[in-house]
Amino acid sequence: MSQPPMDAHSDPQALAPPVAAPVEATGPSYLTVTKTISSWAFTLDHKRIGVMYLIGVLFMFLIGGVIAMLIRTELFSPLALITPLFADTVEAQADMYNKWFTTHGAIMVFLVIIPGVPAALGNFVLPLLLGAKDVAFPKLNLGSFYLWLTGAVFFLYVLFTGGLDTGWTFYTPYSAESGTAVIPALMGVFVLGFSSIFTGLNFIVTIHKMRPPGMTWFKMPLFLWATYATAVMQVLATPVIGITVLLLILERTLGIGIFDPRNGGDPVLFQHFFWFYSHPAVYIMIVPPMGIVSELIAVHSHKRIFGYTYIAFSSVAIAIFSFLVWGHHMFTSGQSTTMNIIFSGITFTVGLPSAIKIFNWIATMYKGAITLNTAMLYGISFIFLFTIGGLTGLFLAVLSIDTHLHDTYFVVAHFHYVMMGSGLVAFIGGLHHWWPKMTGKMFSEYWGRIACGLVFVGFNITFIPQFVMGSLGMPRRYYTYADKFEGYHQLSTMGSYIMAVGFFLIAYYLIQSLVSGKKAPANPWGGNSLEWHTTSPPPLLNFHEVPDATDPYDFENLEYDPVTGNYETIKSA
Amino acid sequence: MSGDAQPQEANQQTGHDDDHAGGHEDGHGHSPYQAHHFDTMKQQFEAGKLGMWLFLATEVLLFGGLFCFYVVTKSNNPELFKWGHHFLDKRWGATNTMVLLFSSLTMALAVREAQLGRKKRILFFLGMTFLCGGAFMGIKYIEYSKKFHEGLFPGQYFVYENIIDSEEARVHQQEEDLLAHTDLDLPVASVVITDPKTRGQVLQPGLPPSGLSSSAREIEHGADDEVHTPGLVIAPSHLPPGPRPANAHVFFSIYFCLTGLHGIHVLIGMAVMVWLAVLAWQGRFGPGYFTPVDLGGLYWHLVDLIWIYLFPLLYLVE
Amino acid sequence: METILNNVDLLILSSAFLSLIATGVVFNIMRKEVTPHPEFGHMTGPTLLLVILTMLLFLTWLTVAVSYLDLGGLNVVVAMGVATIKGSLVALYFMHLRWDRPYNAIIFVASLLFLGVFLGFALLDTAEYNPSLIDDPFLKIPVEQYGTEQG
Repeated sequence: MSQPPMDAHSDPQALAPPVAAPVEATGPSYLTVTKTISSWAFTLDHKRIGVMYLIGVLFMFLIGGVIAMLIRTELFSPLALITPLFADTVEAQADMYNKWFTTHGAIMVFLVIIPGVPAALGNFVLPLLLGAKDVAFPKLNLGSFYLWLTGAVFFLYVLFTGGLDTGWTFYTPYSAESGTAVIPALMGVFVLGFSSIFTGLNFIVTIHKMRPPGMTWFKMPLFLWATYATAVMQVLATPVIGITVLLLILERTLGIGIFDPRNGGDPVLFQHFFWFYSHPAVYIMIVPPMGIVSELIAVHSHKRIFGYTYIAFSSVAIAIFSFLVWGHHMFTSGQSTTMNIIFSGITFTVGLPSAIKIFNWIATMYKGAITLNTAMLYGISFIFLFTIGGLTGLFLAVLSIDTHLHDTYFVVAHFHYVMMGSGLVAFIGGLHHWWPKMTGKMFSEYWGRIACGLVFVGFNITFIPQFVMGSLGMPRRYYTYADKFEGYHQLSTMGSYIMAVGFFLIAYYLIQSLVSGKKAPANPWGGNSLEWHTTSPPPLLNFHEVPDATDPYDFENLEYDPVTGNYETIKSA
Repeated sequence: MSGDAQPQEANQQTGHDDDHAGGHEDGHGHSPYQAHHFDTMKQQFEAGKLGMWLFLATEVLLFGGLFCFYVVTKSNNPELFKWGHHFLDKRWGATNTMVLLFSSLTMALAVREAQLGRKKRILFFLGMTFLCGGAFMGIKYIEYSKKFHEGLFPGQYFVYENIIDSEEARVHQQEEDLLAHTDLDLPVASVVITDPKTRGQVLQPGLPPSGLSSSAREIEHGADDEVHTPGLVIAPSHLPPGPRPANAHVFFSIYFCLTGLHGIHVLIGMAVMVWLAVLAWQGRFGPGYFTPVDLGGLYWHLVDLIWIYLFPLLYLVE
Repeated sequence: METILNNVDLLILSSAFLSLIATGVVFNIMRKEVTPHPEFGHMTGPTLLLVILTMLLFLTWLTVAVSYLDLGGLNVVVAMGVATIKGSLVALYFMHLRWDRPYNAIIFVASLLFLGVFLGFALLDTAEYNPSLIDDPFLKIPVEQYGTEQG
């Protein structure tokens, strides 16, 4: 055991300050307390629900990813490469391609990234961060999970019967007349919307009502601020996509005349309805990952987060402003000039809070004792990739530039940088950060770093050529292209394969850790938020002894023990 | 439609967790209705309330999309609304409004009785609220039947012009209508007396106040032919003054979407009343635990609130 | 009697008076009862509830009566204004917001505000681009020239 630090304040004659005993498992964990299928299927334990979500989300990510590989492989050449295996005529091959990018988008957006961090990681970690035994409404939580599962079933049904070719954005009039399985997909979106709403509702009430004594709003870990802001967006924005898909179903079945001009409707109105939700949705996709990054950077730099209040308020500011910018998806749709200008202007301001976070994270790292764990590498990747993604978003906010870049690969690259390069990367970073806590096993850092490198390098090789292509005029959602783009597409495809190898490697070593990984101590990374003050994995009711609220960013009293690999808490006198 | 929004009820009933390891030590002295993850009943109650208000916020935005449909269509096609509103009888609408307002009162009283733990009164007021909901749906049924009878369906099924052949016939019908009401010598004047014991008169037991239905058809066919009325007689709509616009069906799409979604929520609310009545019957409610009634009440009041806005927008404003 | 049944306005007004009378009756009955205070939450007195119902019924009568007058654009304003007052009464008294934690009211008002943003921006937009739409059998607004507006 290492010696306690000597400093000017401690009395050399005093007894050494007591070292808190390492938190060891003294009973079954939440994973082992019961083992039947029904104990999982009917569980009310937020940790088990989080694990089930995680498995589901990762499975849907696999499906969406396989479709992405199909798309990228198809685009390797202007000639059809894979689609001829499924379809005979050129028209049918193009239709096949349409179905691929639509289902890729819909699955990734609705089933992976929107629920990803809040449901899979947030469900597990939120009550632990609060020192609570569970979320406010555990049955509702289980309900949310089953709603997600129902939505997933709807989309799997769509995959196997006819597919969907409207684009994940379901623009009318085509979505009102397309012969593919549009209605099951819309019902899936509706159900997933309610899953999201109930998760958000649960989290708001939990954070409001179940904070421990001593944890005021400004003593919460920043991940909770991010989750809270996201939950507000989920509750306020998601019902609008609910009514939108209902109205689209009615348009298809009854021809009510709201969105389809042939029935007297207005397709631009559909876009207003759709993007009023879908823009806050993209912030729902990025704000929780930003919360994770706050935790990753602070913990792995062993340094107090810089500008706590600014980061907290920036999450709230993003939540509010996200509702005022949806028209920037509609600049070329026929939206009026006045609204174009208004939306463009507000879109510039919405970039500010995100930039504030980036500066604060970098300032946190400055003069910190950085350990380049896998989780930290993902956190740093986030900063790099989000900067690119965010800045390219600003280009698109400029009306004159967007006129050229709308519906080109520039947009595709932009949103992949923010949704995948930032959102998904932070999700994986959080997964690695909390993996020991969730599973009680340590994964191989060596393979972790290699995989992170593969993902990072592969990602950039995939999407940087797409920025260039897009600005040269390559349109999106096209199954073929002019020869001048071939080089860029080939580079992009090769990058995607490197990324795929990286992801499969992640899956490999994580699964391997479950089988033969080292046993995880309570606090392998040296964090001070409350989840690190219980065993890995936690017991059913989260804490053997509920700890007092700590300052989550005070790392002074943690001392690394090389024998156990644990960071011990040293209580100063 | 799938996935209708369930009101988020207090999920704090205990006792059925499979993996509730360790059981419940009663030495704490807390209510059997307190969930293990809450420290006090007060915290649980306030959490339930907060959750319910968040759910109500989502309902506001759900209906909000339909209000957007209304507002945008009205702004672009004011003459459509001028034409369409003639088909909506504001007397039915006002009656429905009163019914719902009254049901809000009975619901609030049910909450009060739940706080006092007076089982019979809780059941009484919940029953009254349920009946009011039923009355609302009944009037809705009358209104919808009339619309369907006249071919006023939403969207592509709108066939108004096909059923009513000519405007002249309808003008004629309307004139006869007016004549019937102003002529006091006709025995039909006694139709308005709803006393079932009176003999020798045409009894229309199911008939609401005569302002709400026309006896014009009875006059033509001879009121004394029938002693027993087959059912409710519904007056044809007042004829709108202008020609039918090309996008007439959109007005009815809006009408049916708004009132239809609202009606579905009323039905869900009535189901909630039944569920609450079952819980009340089991004697669960008292000063220490009345959350489900309170939260169910909030849902019901929201349904009323939405109707308070729907009524003027559809029936009163042109 | 006939007049009242024939004219629903009067029906509403008479319902309002009935509930006013009921208020008086209940007030007299309740005068001697002590309203207990629950451990948490707040109990609304039945008299107050009846008073609110009376006001709501009266306001319903008012809005129906005004709808028979032709005030042009003001009709909508009055109708919505009365509806908002009625809604506020229901929210504050029936739904307890008057005695609840302010955060519940903030949530509700916030949802209305964001709804306002949605409706407002959509309306602004459609009002501006609608005149430039190409004439179409389903649109009532004919356009003189094909594609007049720039941008």
